Amino acid sequence: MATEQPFFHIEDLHVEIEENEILRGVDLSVKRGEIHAIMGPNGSGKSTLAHTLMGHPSYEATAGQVLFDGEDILEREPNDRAKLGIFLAFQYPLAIPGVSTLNFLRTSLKAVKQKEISAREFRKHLLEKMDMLKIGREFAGRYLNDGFSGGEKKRMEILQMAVLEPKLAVLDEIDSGLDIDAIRAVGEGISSIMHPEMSIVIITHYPRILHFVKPDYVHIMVDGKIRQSGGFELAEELEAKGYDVLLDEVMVASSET
Amino acid sequence: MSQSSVEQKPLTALQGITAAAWQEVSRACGEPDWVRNLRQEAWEAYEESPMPTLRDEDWRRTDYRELELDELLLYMPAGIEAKAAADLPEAIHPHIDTGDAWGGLAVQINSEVAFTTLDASLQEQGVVLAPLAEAARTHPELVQPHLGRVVTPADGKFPALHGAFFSGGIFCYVPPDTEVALPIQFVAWMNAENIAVFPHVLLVADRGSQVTFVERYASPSLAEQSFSCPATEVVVKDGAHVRHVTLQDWGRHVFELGFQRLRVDNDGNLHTILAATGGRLVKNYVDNSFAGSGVESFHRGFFFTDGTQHMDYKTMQDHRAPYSTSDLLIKGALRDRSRAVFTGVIGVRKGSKRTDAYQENRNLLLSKRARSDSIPILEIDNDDVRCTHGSATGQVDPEELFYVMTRGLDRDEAARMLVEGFFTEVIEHTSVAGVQAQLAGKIQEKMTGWQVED
Repeated sequence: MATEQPFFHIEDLHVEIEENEILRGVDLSVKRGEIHAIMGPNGSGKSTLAHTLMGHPSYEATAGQVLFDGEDILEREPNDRAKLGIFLAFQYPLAIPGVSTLNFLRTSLKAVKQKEISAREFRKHLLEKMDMLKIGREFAGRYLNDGFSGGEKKRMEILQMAVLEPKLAVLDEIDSGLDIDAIRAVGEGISSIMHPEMSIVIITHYPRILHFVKPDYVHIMVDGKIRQSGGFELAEELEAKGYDVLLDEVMVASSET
Repeated sequence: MSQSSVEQKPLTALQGITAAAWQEVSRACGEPDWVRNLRQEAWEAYEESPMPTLRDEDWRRTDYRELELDELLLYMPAGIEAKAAADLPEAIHPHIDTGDAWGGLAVQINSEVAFTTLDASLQEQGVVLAPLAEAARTHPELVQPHLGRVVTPADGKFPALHGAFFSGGIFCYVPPDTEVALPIQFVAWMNAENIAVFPHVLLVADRGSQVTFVERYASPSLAEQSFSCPATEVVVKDGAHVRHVTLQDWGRHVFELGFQRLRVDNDGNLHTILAATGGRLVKNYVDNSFAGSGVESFHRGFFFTDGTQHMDYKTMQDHRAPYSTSDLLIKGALRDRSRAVFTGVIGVRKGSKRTDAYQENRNLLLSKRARSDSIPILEIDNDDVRCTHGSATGQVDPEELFYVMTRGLDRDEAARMLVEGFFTEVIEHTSVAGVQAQLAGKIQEKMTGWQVED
């Protein structure tokens, strides 16, 4: 685990969608090399946090800041955030008909790294990552996510992360809708990409994937705020008790403080 | 006959839609009497039918009143005699030199065919590629059964006008069970203002034959108006396979009112691509007529309008016999203040049981000031059929835009990628590689200077 200062820091973040406040003061600090899990029931604001971190135009930050390497990124365009090294894996990845996975990712890598990369060199890079993630090479020529199953789309998100080599990856419900074998494949893929200079924020409803991507910290988000933080044992507790029991305890605890 | 064109200068004075005018065209074409008789019939039909107006259902979205038909010259010589493709005017070459190998090539300039060539091996196999009037003289047994019988004067005012005034034109015949490996291309090129051209294509693919045929309409953009009134007749006989490509890239001064009918007999296979990017005001009817049973057909097309362009395309999937399948997808994108109308008809006539027809139209509005109409029509006179249609018009999807932007592309780059992808789904079906690449380039050209709106 890293010991340096947090390079990614969320402070008192408030976010509205169409004037409804969804996030009500989120605080989170992430150091290099750390894996953080944000867990919480549906509607707690987890996905709002993910979209806000990447700059979705429908989500308006009304207070607080998000510091990345010391700079507040809240006014930055999504593509600028990508260039800084932030990656969002979508809960519902979109299909891009007419654009092959290979062309999409080459264009994307050129944009993120802001340098040319030859078609040949890129192909090699992509195929290496595909092999590593055990993704069939035929996917390189297929239109991105077009007609892919839910599990295939999620694995393509992981492939994109592997290709773009972000400093911070935010994985929004990467496990939702997957069966246990697919969760294992996705989880193992994430673990194989992780390295000491990279950080991951994994947002999930279910603890299962955390057995494959073991977090250093687990945070429970309820009603737009992180109510409790702990180590992996918090996820295990959640798994044992379920949300209903744990949340009662969490809410009682947070009302006492 | 095309060789005599240079001496036809007096015809440049031909103006005004009159009987004397088409008779003059007929003389210039040097055609047999039976062709002249077809013109006579067409002329009578033309005279008997009223000019379409905005009160006609088919015409109420396309106002062509700025077309000054009576001001236009009705026959304009090619002004050149080309012994080889290299002799053709420089401006035509980009439309021919696509990097593809062609089995045959014919080039019409204005009202005359200026150049025709066909591989010797194809000639030996009995394939014919010849200017229409010449073919009418040398191969009447092949031409007469079809000329003016697939597209007829009864099809409307402008098909009738075409029937009286057609000039130049190409005839292509593929004998039974003959496979033409390399595509054959017909280019209609126009390089003058204030003229009207009437190109005609007659393609007959005999039983069990295979051919790819590319029709291309192009011109530079000029100041004063010109008019194109083309007609295409395609006959796909029993068991024949035809791949047909139409590329419309007229200059911005061109009005076009065109008509295509592709007739498919028993067990025929038809695969068409339509790509329309040019013209000032364009209205075309593409009638895919499945006369035989067991036909398989596949249609892809796109239009892309910008500026103040107006395009109106109507397609027909006309199932006239049982057990046929048709699948049509037309995509459109509109920039600036342009306007487009797409009408897609699925017709299933009595007795056409087990028809399986699919039709989809998807339009992308790239500007708030652009306007598109999409009109699906089902005419079903038979039970036991499956007909599906869908239509969607919208802007670049903001969620897709966000997704692509999170991968590092700025807003305009992301939007461009989405638009290009939108068209790739159609373009990729073009089997002629160089033409496919050229269409991708055309899309990029059309996107120049475009920025996504909020």
